[in-house]
Amino acid sequence: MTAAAILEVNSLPLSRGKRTLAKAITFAVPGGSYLELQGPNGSGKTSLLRALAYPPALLDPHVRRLDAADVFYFGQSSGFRPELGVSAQLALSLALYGAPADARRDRSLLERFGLARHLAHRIRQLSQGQVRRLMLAVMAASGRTLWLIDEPLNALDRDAIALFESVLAEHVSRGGAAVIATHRPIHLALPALAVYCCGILCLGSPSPQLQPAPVQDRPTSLPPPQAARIERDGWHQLLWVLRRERLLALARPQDLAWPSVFHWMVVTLFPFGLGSDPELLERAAGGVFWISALLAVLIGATRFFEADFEHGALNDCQTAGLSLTWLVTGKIIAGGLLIGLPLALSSMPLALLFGVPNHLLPILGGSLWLGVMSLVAGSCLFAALGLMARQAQVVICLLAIPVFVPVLIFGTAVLNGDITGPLLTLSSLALLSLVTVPIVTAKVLALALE
Amino acid sequence: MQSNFFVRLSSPPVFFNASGKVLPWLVTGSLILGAIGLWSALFVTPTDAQQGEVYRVLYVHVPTAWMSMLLYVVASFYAALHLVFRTSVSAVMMRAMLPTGAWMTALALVTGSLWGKPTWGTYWIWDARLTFELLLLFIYLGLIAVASLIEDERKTDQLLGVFTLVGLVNIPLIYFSVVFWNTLHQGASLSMSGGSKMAPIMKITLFVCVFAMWLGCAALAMARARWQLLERERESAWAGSVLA
Repeated sequence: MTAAAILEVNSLPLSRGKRTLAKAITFAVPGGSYLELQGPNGSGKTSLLRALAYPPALLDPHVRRLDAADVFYFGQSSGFRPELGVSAQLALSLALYGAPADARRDRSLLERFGLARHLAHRIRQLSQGQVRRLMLAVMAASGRTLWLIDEPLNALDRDAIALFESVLAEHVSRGGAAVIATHRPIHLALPALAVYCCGILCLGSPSPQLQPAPVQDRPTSLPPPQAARIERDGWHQLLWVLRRERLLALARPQDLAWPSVFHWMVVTLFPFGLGSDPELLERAAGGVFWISALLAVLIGATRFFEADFEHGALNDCQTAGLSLTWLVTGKIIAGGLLIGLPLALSSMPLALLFGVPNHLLPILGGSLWLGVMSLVAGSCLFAALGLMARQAQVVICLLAIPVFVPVLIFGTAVLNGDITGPLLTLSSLALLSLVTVPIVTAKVLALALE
Repeated sequence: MQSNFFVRLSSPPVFFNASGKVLPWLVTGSLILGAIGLWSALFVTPTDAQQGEVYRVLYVHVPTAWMSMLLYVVASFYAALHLVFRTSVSAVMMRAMLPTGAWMTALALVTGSLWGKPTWGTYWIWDARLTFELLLLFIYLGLIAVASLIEDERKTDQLLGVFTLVGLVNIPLIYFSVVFWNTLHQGASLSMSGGSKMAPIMKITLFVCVFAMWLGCAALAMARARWQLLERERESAWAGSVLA
C-alpha cells in the first residue's frame, strides 16, 4: 500500500513561533485516499497544512511528496483579487496551476459550480460562499495530485457541500490524494466519502495519534493520475505575472493616474515655496522633478504586495510553484511601465512651467523613466518588508531614502548639462536593480509568508 | 583546533562565559588608553600652527569617524554569518553593533561641525565626506528601526541581516555618487590640512585615541550583545542559572 504513497511525513516536528505543538507527526497518504485532520483550535491544523504546502526548496526534510511541486492548497483566503472579473480570475488561477487554457472548460466549470450567472461579475460582487465555490472550481480543474484543504465546509450551503463531495470523490477515485483539516468530521458529514479515508490524525497532544479509517475495506491504492500540465520555465512564469498585472490595471485604470496627479501637485507646490523667479525655477527644476517623482513612487510602491498578500494570492503563487523571484521581476517591469511611463510623460509638459528648454524635455522624460525603474525596484524590496510591519510606512521611507540618493544625484545631473554619462549610469542602475532586487525581495517575501 | 573554538563560540552559554571574561579587560583597556590619549591630546601635543587649539577636537573626531564605518563592516560580517549559519550569537552581535555605530556616526558629525565652525567658518558644508556621513547615520537609524518593527525575533534577525547586507552593497554606490555630485556642484572641496606634516607625538596620540575608541566600542557592543542574549534565552537552563 505504501508503494504509491503520494505524501509521506516522517516524525515531523510542528511549532508555532517558539511554542512546540507536536514533537513528531508521522503518516502517509497513498494515492486514491484522503487523510482527515482533527483537533481543537490552535492545535496546529493549519500550521501542519502550511508546512506540507511549502515549495520544494523550503520543504521540511521530514516531508516527502511524490512529485514535489504537485500540490494545491485550499486555504482560508481565496487568493482572488476582488477587482477582477470572475471568468478572468478563473482563467488566471488555472493558468497559475499549469492547466492549459480552455474557454469551454472554464464555462462548463462555472456552470457546474453554479456560477454561470455571475460570468460578467467581479469577484467583489460574489458572496463568501460563491467565492468558496469558485475556489472549489479552481481546485477541481487544477490537475494537481495532492490537495491540502483547510476547513472546506465553511460558508458552503448544502448544494455546495454536495459539490465538494463529488469533486473530492472524483479526485480520489482517479488516484489523487488529499489532507483535509476540519472541525466537522468529514466521514460523518459526508458518509459517501468515508470509504476513501485512509486515517484520522488528531492533533492537540505532543505525540498525535493516527487513528484507523472508519471504513476498513477500502479500494486498493491507485497509481497517481497523469494530468495534462504545462511545465513552465521562468519566461512563462514572467509572462503569467505580466498578464495578471495587465488584467489588474485594466480592472482599475483610474489607479494608473494617481501617482502622476500626485507628482503634478507636488511639483506645482514648489514655486509657492521658492518664489516665481524664472531663473531660480529653471535651476531647481531637476531637483524638484526628481524629489517629487521619488515621493510619488515611494507612496504608491510601499503597498506593492499588500493586496496580494492579504487576499492570499502571494501564498497561492508560492504553493503553485511560481518562483517569487519571477513574480517580483514581473511586478517591477509592470511598475516601471504602469507608474513610470505616465510619470515620465506627464513630466514633459509640466517641465515647461519651470522653463526647462525644449530640447531637454525628452531627455528629462527618458531619464525619469529610467530612474523610476530603479526606484520601483527599490520600493519593492521595502514593500516586502512592509508586509511584516504594516504600521511602519514612515520607517520604510527612512530606510528607502538613503538608497535612492544615487538615482536622485544622477537623475538631476542630466538636467544640469552633462547628459550621456548620467544617462548611462541611470540605465545601468535600472538594469542592476532589475537583476538583483528580485532575488533579495523574494527572500524577504518568503519570510513574510512563513 | 582553532576553528573548533570559534564553532563552540556560537553556542550562547559558551559565548556568554567567554565574553564575560573578555569584557572587563576591554573596559579597563579602553579607559586607561582613553585617559592617556586624552591627557596627551589636551596637554602634551603642541598647538597646531594653522588651526590653533581647536584642532584637538580631531583626537575625538577621527576615531569616531573611523569607527562609524568600521562598525558597519563588522555588523555586515555578523549579518552574513547569521544568514549562513542562523546562530543567535551572530544575530545579537549584529544587532549590538548598530546602536554603537549610530552613536559613533552622530558623534563624528557633531565633533566635525564643532571643528568646522572655527576652522572653515561654518558648522556644515555640503562636502562629499560630510554628506556621506549623514547618509550613513540615516542608514543606521533605518536599520535600528527595522530591528524594533517586527514581533517575531527570528524573522527580524534574518531581515536585519538582509538589509544590513543591502546597505553594505549600497554604501560604496552612495559614496561614489555623492563624490560625483560634489564635484558637479562645487569646485574645490576642503580637506584637512596635511596628514604628513603631523608631529610624531600627534600621530601617536591619535593612534592611542583610535585604539581606545576601538576597545570602547567593542566593550559596548559586547555588553549589549550579552544582555540581549540573556533576554532571548531567559527560558533556557544556563540563562536561568546566570540570572538566579
